[in-house]
Amino acid sequence: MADDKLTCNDLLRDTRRYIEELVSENERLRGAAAEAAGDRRRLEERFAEVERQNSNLAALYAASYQLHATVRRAEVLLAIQEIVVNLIGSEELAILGVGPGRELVALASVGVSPAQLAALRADAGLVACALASQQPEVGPPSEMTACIPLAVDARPVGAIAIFRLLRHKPALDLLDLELFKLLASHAANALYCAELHERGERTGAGDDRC
Amino acid sequence: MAKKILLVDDSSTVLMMEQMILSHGRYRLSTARDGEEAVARARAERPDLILLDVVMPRMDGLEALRALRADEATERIPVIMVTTRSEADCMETGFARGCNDYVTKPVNSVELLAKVRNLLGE
Repeated sequence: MADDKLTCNDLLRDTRRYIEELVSENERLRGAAAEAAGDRRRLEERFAEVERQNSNLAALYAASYQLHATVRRAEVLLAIQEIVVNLIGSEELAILGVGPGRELVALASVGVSPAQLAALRADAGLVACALASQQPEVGPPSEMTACIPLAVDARPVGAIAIFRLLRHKPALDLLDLELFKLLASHAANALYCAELHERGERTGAGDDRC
Repeated sequence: MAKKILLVDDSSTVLMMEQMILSHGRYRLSTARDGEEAVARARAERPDLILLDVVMPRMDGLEALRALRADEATERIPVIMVTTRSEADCMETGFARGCNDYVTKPVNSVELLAKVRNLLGE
């Protein structure tokens, strides 16, 4: 009888100890699961960030490639428009040249009225700021979203005026600013090379100047 | 076997972006530059998915979508409209004509990949 009681007590003690071990193991596993969930969340965030960076690089590569994929002036102008419409997100833009008397000449435009174009001046507003600073300038949306200067060998030759962004695009982001810098440095050179090439074709000169 | 995706846009810049975004997924990609070419390619190639621009020359994306849905050979191919037109009426027309989803330009790669994978059942 006493032996039976001893055995029961032992069994109870062992069972309690086993339950404590299971509770402890359960807590450890819960901790590990929470840690794994945290790791997974961090990896997902990192993956999304890498995807975003890849996408940004792809946009910059595509823009650069398209600007230099042709030596036809009309196609370079079209490439600039496509970049602004499809990669930046505006269907209201003008590509402007600066004439010998500092007057602005519209080389191409999308969604901009003649009155808006006529109101643009090289010595006023955001265009003047961009031409003077030779840096892309971001303006108050009421006036113009941004103006990107076009310079060849540090000589201002034009600008890209971006008016309103697409309705579903609330604001400019970091990629847009990178695209502005790329356009400022590459678009003018691409236009200049295309003009040289076409001038060379007209005069019968070789096309190896660029 | 790699899934086939037909990319339709009149902009070389957009086609190039989409090709780069989707190149990670080991898809077989083909391209068309307007609605007519898209419909012809879809009939010939039977892609698993079509990314379809709205504003295009010759035949726009909405007309192309109508033609795709009217043809037994292409009526079940999932279509994602890719558009600068985020206005509600354009989206309503797209869905009414049978598009499965849409993304707006500038294309967000994470969003596009998620929608592509979803429609391809991945």
